[in-house]
Amino acid sequence: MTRRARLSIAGGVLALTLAVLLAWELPAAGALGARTARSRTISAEAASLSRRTTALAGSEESARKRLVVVTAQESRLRRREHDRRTTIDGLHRQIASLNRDIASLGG
Amino acid sequence: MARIRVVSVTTETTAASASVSTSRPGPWLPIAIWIVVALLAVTLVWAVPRAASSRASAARTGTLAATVAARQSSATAAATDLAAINGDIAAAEQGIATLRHDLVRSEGEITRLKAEIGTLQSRKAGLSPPPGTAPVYPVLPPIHPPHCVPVYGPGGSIGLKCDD
Repeated sequence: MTRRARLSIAGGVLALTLAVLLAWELPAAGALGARTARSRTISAEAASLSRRTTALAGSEESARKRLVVVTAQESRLRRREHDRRTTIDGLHRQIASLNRDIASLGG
Repeated sequence: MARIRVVSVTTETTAASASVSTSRPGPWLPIAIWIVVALLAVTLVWAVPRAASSRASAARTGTLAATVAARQSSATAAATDLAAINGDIAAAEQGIATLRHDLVRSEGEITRLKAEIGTLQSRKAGLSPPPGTAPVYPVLPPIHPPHCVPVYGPGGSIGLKCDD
């Protein structure tokens, strides 16, 4: 085999390797900028969502506490209202009894 | 004689030239090979690490996208829960306002009823005998048969006079 033939074969192999490498790696290498930008965007979005989730969790916790307080207050007021209703019923009975007494006394 | 030698030299030279033109590469082939080698080196030094970074970045982006989706759904669920809790709080506050209004009204009603009871108790006290005395019963008309009439004396009715 002549030197020229050997060089041609070596050059062809190198050229083929280069073509394969370029075909395989160049698109990925070219997309690095876009992928990095997308990764940064999604990172920022994830961080923003994380902050939002944390804020929502805090708001939910505080709202739950407020709900407990408000529900307890409502229950207390409901009991008070029930006591007042009982008092009013007792007063009505007392009035009826007094009216009966007065009628029996001829008043 | 000298002429014959010259011919012979010429022939050798031609043969040598022919040998060179058929077995040795031209100048473009090594240059092309060097260019390819240089490109290959550049590819290996620049493009391969860059492509690896790009693939790692894509994998990281995929992971982050999954995280973002999970956080998005988590945030949506938290917002829904928060809205429900705020609705419950609003309903409870509405109930509290109604109860406060009812309490004010019932307070007024209790005051009014107590005043009415005071009035009725005063009225009853005016009609009742003083404590410690016998009760005064109302004076009822005497019951007598239809054919009898009462006979009155100085102290009131002293008896009945009946028709036989």
